[in-house]
Amino acid sequence: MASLPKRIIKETERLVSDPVPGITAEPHDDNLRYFSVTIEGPEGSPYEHGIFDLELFLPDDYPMESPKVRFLTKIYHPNIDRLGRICLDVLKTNWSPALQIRTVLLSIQALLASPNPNDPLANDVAEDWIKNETGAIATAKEWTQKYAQAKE
Amino acid sequence: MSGDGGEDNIKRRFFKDELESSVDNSSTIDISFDKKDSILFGNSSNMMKVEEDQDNTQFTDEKFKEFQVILSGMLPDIENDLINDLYKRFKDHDNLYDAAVEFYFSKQEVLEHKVYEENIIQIEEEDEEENRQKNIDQYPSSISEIHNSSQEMPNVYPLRKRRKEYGFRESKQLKKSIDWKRFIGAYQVNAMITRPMLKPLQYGTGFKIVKDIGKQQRNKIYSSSGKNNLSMSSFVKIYDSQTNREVAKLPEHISDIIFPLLERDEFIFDLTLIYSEPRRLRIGDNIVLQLDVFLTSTLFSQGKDINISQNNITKQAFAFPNMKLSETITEIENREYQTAIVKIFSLLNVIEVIDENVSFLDSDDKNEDSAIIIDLEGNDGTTNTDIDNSNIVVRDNIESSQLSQGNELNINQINAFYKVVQSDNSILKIPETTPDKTKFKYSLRRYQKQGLTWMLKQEQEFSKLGYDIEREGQVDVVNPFWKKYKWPKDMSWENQKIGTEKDVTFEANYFYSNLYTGKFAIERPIMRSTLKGGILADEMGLGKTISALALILTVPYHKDMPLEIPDLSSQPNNKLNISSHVSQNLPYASKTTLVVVPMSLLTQWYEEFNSVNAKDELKCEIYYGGNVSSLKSLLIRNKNPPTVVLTTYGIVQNEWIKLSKVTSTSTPSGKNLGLFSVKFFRIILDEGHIIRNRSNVTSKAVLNLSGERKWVLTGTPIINRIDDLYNLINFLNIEPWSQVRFWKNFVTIPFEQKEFKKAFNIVNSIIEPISLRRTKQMKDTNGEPLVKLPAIEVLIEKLNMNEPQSDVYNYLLQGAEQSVRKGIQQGNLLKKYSTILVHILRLRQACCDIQLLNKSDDSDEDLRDVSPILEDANSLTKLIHKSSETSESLSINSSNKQTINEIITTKYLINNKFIEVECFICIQEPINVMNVVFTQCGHCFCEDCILSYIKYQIDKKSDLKCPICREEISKSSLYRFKIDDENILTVIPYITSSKSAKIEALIVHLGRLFEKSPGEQVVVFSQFSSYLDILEKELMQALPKNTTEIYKFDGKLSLKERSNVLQQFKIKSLEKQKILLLSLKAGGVGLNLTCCSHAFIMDPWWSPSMEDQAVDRIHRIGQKNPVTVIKFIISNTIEEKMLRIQDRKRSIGEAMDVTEDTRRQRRIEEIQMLFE
Repeated sequence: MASLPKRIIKETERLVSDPVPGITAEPHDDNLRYFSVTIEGPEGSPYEHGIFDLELFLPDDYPMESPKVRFLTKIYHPNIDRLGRICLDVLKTNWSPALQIRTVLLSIQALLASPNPNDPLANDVAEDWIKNETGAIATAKEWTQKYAQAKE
Repeated sequence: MSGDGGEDNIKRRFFKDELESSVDNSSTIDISFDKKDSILFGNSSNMMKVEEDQDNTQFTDEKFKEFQVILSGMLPDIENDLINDLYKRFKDHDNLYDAAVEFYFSKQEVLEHKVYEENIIQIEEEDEEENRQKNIDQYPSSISEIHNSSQEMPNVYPLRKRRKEYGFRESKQLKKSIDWKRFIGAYQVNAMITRPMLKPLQYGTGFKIVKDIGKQQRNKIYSSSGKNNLSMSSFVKIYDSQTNREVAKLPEHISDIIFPLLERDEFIFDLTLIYSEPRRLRIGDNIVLQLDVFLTSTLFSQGKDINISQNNITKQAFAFPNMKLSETITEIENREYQTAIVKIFSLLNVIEVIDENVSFLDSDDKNEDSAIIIDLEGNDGTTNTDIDNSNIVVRDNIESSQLSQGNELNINQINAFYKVVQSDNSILKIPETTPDKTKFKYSLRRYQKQGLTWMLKQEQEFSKLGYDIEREGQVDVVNPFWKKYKWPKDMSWENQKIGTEKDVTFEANYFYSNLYTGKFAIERPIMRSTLKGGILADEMGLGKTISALALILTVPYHKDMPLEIPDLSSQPNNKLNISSHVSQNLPYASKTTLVVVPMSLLTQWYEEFNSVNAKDELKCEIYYGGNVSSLKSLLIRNKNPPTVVLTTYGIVQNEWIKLSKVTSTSTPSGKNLGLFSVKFFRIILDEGHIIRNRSNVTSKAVLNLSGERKWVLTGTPIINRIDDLYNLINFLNIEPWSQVRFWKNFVTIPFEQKEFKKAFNIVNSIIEPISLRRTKQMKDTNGEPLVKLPAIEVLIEKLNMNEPQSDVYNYLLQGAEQSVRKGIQQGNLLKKYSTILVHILRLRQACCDIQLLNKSDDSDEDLRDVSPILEDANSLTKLIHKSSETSESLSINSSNKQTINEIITTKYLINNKFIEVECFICIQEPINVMNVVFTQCGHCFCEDCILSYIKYQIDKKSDLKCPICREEISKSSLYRFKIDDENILTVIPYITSSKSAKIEALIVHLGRLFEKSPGEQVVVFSQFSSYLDILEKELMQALPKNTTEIYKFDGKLSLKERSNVLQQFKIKSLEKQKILLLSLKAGGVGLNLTCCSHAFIMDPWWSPSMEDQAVDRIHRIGQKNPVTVIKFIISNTIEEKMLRIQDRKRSIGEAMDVTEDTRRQRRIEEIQMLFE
C-alpha cells in the first residue's frame, strides 16, 4: 500500500482532536484509508435518537477523487437505497478536493435532516414519501427504532 | 722467385699450416714453428706496426740477388724457398753469409724433415684436406684453446719475426683523425683475378680495396628509390698495393655490403692473400683472401653527425607530409651505410651479447662470463664451402632470416624489459623531491613530488634531486635498439702473423651499437643521454600544470651552457653570423622556457606561475599577438630575460605561416621570426595532443620550434588512433622512432595488419621510458589513492516537456523519422548523414527549449552548418508561434489583472505580508509565499496542489472548476506573487507554458539550493551557446535580482573578458548565488572551477567523455566538497536514447582499433538506435 498522504494523516488527526458533534470516524488499524463512521440522527428528523453505522473508504486518488461512503445500518430514506448507497452530489459530480471527510459526513447528516424525494435513489421509498409523507416518516421512525439503536 | 717448386712450396705450406695448427702446436723446434702458424691464429702483433716485409717474388733489390747467387754457390742443393727464408732472417745480420750458412747447417735436419713432410702432404693432398675438415669438426670448441697456446708463443720465442714468407704488405698508417682501430671480425672471400699475372701471388700479400666509381656521378650510383642501379662489384676493386693496379674483384655479395663502408673513416678493411693457385694467374682465376674488418675510433665518436642527418630526414618529412619521403643523395648514402653495417655484422657473425638476468637494467657488466664472444669459428668452418658459389646464396638467405629474427627478438626483449618498468610499483617507488621553498611556494602532493623527481631525472638534473642518486642505485634505461657486443680477440691476419705489440689503448671488453641508426658507442648508451624531456601524461586533474611549474622553477635555466653556444649569443652584434646559421644553430635562449598552451589556459598558466613563484627575478611573460617587437632580443640580449614565455598554439601557427611565406621568397633574414628565431632552453606543450595530427599546420609549426629540453603535457596522449602518438614522439625527437619509416614499420604497419599486440607492445616500449602516467585511481605505497577527491554524485533528472514543446517535438520527430526510414530503405543512410544530423539537432534543441529553434546564432557551431532543410519550415514556425501566442494571450487575457490584484491584495495581504492560509487541497498551512497560486476567483492553493488538480481534471476530461467556489478556472488564469527588490509583493500571472521544462526545473533547483546553502556557486553546462543566452534571460527574470549573479562564458568572449568572468565568478559571496553559464566548447578544457560543487548539465553530449570533461572542471584536485551534478533529460525523447548511446560508447570504448568501416557501421547503428 502506498504511503499515506499527509492530508489523510492530518484529517484523521483533526477528526480525533476536533470531533464533529454527533459524528465519529475512526480508521481501521489495518487500513488507515478505511473508516468506521457513526452518525447520530439529527434532532427533529425521523432519525432522531438513532445511531447509524457507515463505512468510509478513501481511494488512492483522494483527495482528487471523493471518498466512498455507505450506510451499514438499514435506513428508510429516499436518497439511500437498500444497500446503503447514498445519493449525494458532493460524493459524485460536485466533489472537490477542497472537501474533506468531515464535510462529507456533515453533508450526510444534513441529508438525513432533509430528505429529497425529488432526486431519489430508492424509488419505492421516494414514491411513498411523496404520496404519504406522514406514513413514510412513521416507517422511518420505526426503522430507526428497530435498527439504529446504540449497541450497548 | 720464379721456379715451379716455389709455387708448390707455397701451396704445400698452406695446407701444412692448416694441418698443424689444428693438430699439433707443441713443436719446440724453431724452424717448424715457422711453418705451423695457422692462417687465422698466430702471434698477436702490433696492427699499427709498419710492416716492411719483402716478398721474394718481388725482391728486386741488389742485396738479395747477391745473397741468392752467393748462397746457391756455397750450398748448391739449397732451395729457393730456403734462400728466401734465410735472407729474411739474416739480411740485417752483420755477417750475413756466415750466419746464414751456420744456421742452415745447424738446423738442416729440421729443415729437411720439414721439406720431407711437405712432400708427403703434397702427395696426399686430397686426404689432407679431408683431415683438416675432420680436425676442425673434431675440435670445434677448442678454438680458443689453440688460440691461447698460439698466443703464448711469442713469449717463448720473443725474438722471432716472420720476414720472408709473406708477400708484400703496404705499410699502413692510420689517418690522423683516427685514434685507434680495433678488430671486429674476419671473413674469407674468394676474389676473381681481373688481370693476368705472370707470377703467382705470394701467401700473405696485402691488398687494398679501392672504391673506384670512375666517371660515374655520385648521385647516379643510387637510383631515386635508393636501390643500387648497378652491382657494386664494378666499383669495388682489389688493388695490388705495390703496383697500385687493379688485380682482382670481390664477389658481388661482399662488395655490395662493403661498398658503402669504403673510404670512410669508420671502417678499415684489410685484405690478405691466403691462398692462390701456385701458377700464373689468368683472368677469372680464384684467389682466397682474408678480409679483416676493423672498427675505428671515428665510428665511436661520430654518432652525433649521423644523428643530425637523421633529423634532417624527419624534418623534411614534415615539410611535405603528403609526399612520399624523398631523400637526398646524402641521406640515401647514409641509409645504405646503416644497412651495410647491419649486413657486415651479420657477415662477420658478430653476435650481440644477451645478459641473462634480463634486463637492460643492470648497470654493471657482471655477466662477462655469460657473454657470447664474437665467434670466428663459423667463418672458419665455412672457409672452404664459401668457395662454392651455391653456398654463398644459401648463406645470404641465412643472413636475411637472421636479420628478421633479430627484429622479433627485439620485440620480445622490449616486452621483457618494459614489463618491469610498467608496473605501478616502479612508478610508486620513485623517490620524492620537494621543491625549494624559496623558489616554489606551493606545496606539492606526494605523487607530484615523485613526478618532479622523474622529470628532473629526465632532464638529467641530478643535483636537484631530493635524494642521493648513488645510494639510490639509479636505473639506467637502455634503448632496446642498442645492443651489446663483445670485442673479439684480434684474429686479423696481420696481428697473428706479424704483430706482437698490443697497441689498443683501451681495455673495454664490450662495445654497443645501434644497428638501426648505425651509431656506435663504447660506453653503455643511456636513453636519457639523448633525450631531455618526455611526456607527462597524468590523468586530467592531477596537476600537470603545477608539476611543470615546479620543474621550471627548480631548474629555471641552463646552468652549464655548452661552450660553443655562448659564442653565438654573446656576440649579438655579429648579425651576419647569426643569420647565416641554419636553424640548428639558432641563438640559445638559455634562460627561457617556452610554454605553448591552448588560448583558454593562457591566463590560468600566468596566474599559477605568479602564485607559485617565490623569486622576484623570475618572471613570466605572455607572448600574444606581437606584443613583443623582437622576441630574440628580449630573450638573448636582455640581462634578465623572462623565465617563462607563454604563448598559444595559434600564435605559433601564425608565426610559422608567416615564416614559411618569407622563406618561400627566400629571404634569409626570415629565419629570425619571433618564436622561431631562438632555441629555447625548454619547450612545454600543454594539452600536447593538439599536435597529434601530422598534416595539421599547428603541428608542423610546433615541430619546428627548437628547444634543448622538450616536454609534452597531456592527459590523453592517444585520442583516436595509435598514430596520434607519432607526432609527440617526433616532437621529442626520440630516436629512432621519430623517423617515419621506423614508426611505420614497427607501429603503423603491424597495427594495420591487426597485430595489435605487437604494435601496442612497441608503443609501450617507446612511451614507457619517456612518459609518466598516473591515474586518479592509482594507489600509493600505503594503499591510499593518489588523489582523494570528494564523492561525486551524478543524478539524471527526467522531465516532461510542456505542451507547446511536445507539440513541436512531435512535429519534428515525424519529419526526422520519415527521412531516416527513407535512408534505411534506400540504403544510403550515411549519404543523408548530414541531413539526419540536422534533424537530430533540431530534436535536441526542441528538448532544450523551442526558442532555440528560432535562433541562428553564428557562434553556435552546431547551428551554423544547418541549412534550411526543413521543407515546410512554415508550419513549424506556426507551431512555435502558436506556443508563444498562448503566452502572449495570457498577458492580454489578464486585462482584469487589476481587479484580481485588488481581490488578492485585500484578501491575503496584510501590510504587504501574505497571511497564513491553509491550502484547501493539502490542508497544510501556511502556504509558502513563493509557492502560492491564486485562481481567478481569488482562492489560493499550493502551486503543486493546484497544478496536480488541474492535471487530474484534464486527464479525467472533467471541467476545471475552482475546488472551493466551483467557478470555472483555467491553467492560464492563475496568478502568483512576485517579490521585487524591496520585498514588495505584486501579483503577476502564473505562466507555465513559456518556460521549457528544463529551465523550469533548473529554476526550482537553483531556488532550493540557495535556500539550503546560500553563497554556493553553480555551473550550468550546455553545448548550445544560444541556449546559454536563453538561460541567461530566463534566469534573470525568474530569480531574485538582488541575490543572483549570472556569468556567461562562451566563445564570444575575448581572452581578457574570459579571465575577468572567471575571476569575478570565483569570488565567494554568501549573499549571492553566482551562476556560471559555461559552454564547454569554449572553455571545456583545462578550466579549474573547484570553487563550485554543484553543476547542471542541461543537455546530453554524444560522447560521454565530453561530459566527463565537463564534470572534471569541478571534480578535480582542489575540490573539498562532495560534488553533485544534475543532468536534465526529457523522458521519452531523443535525449533518453542519447543516454543509451553514451552507455554503449562507454562500454565499447571510443578510440582504439577501429577501422573506418566499423566506425561507419556504428554510426548507422547509433542513428537506428535513435529512431527505433
